[in-house]
Amino acid sequence: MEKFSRVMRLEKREIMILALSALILAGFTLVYGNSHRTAVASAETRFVEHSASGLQLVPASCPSSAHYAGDCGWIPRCGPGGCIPCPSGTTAQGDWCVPPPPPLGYSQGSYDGGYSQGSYVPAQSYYQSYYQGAYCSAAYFCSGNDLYYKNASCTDAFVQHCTWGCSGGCLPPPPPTGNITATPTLVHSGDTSEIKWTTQYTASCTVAENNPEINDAWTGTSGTKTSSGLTQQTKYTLTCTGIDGSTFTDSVTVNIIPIWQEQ
Amino acid sequence: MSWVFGWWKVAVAMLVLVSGAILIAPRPFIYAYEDARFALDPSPSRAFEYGEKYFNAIDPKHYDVVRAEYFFEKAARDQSLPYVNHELARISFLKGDFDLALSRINLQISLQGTSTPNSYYIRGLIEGFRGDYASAARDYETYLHTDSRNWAAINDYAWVLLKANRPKDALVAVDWGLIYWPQNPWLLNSRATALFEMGRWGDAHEAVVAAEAAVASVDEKAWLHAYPGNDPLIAAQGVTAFKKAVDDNMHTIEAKIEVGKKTVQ
Repeated sequence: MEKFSRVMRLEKREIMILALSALILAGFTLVYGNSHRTAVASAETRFVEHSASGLQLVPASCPSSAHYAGDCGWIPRCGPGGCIPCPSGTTAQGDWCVPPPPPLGYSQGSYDGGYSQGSYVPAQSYYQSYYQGAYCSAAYFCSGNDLYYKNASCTDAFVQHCTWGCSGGCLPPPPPTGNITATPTLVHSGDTSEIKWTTQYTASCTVAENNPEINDAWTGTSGTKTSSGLTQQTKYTLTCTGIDGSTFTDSVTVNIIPIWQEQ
Repeated sequence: MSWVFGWWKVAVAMLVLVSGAILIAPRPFIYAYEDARFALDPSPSRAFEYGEKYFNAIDPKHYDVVRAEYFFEKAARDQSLPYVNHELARISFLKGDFDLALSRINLQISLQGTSTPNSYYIRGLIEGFRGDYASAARDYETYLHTDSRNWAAINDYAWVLLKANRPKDALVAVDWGLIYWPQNPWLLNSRATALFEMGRWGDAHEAVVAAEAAVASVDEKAWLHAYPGNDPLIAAQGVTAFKKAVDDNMHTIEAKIEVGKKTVQ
């Protein structure tokens, strides 16, 4: 240890050489700059412009870089709060959601914008035709009770009229309903009763009875019939098939007024 | 023999000194090394490579627009390099010398044409800052033909349309962009402005509220992505300025709506 400290002990001459070297190094650092520098404010960061009514306009400059010309179309998907799912039509690549490249036919959209004889002509139709020509999602839609189909080229085609209403497609028919009545429901033996039935949303109906002495049977989605002469309790059953394919039933019973015999 | 032993001590001490200096302040040593290399091989392609390195807005360590311009000017001896005048134009633009920027980008476009399509975007930007909104709109449209879903190009196109007092056209453009970038705060702010210019204050308020919500998530990284070429050290200020602009717009719109209500009453 003592030998080492003796070895590292510097002579006066050596100290002077080191000090001079340090001075030269410091000067060199000053000439070439240092790692702490002043921030440079650009014309963009000094930009303050307003619209006619005084709102502040904020242009960006993302596509200006030679390296990032295209990726201003990339959606940042990760931020301080985490990462979000990429929107439909884009794919996740690292911190970005990357859309597919523009369709090859982009230049075929009609374009009426441009500079003409010193006045600017708006390019409104450029966007509208480009949008309508290439960027519709094929889907059904309703206009009143009519069903239409819009294809990927944004062309609408009539599909059908919806009898039961339209909401994203034709709505199905409602389930069948109805009822059957008897007038009167209490008769003297041998008398008849008027059987009446009405239904809605039915395709077909039958009316049958459970009395072995008679043979009343009718069809139709509605009707009024006179029963046969009834001598015992009789149940009339209405059975219908709905437009939607389901089954509906209702029934009514006609009773006989009893006869008392004096003993 | 003792004098050799003495110089050995000096050499070790100097090595320690130089190593420490490189660790503390590497930049001057890197610069000196590159200058020496470039002096030995002063090729335009090497100069362009160095220029790109120092015009890097992502890495604060490397950003040095003065040095970048120096090397790009060296690289400009070879006009066949595709982006050399483009980068010089950008630097002139950032420095606020719009006349020089325009002459440089015009040279770029005359030499490279649509092979560097974003040169038209740069020219649109320069023309917009110079107040030549008609020419700017034309150049933005040329660029948008190549990249129609670029939100920044759409936003800036809307900017010059608004300055040319064409809010309806600006709205069409912005709404197109919002199909793909519905949460983009620049587009939402432009939408609010266009609607406000059209007298649709309620819709403008709805748009600026959406812009305010969207701008809350803009951080320095996103800002530098939107404004490449700017000094990374000012990114925080840029984010603050953008958020303030949207906030000010919201207050202006709300004040207008309030005045409108009082007038009705």
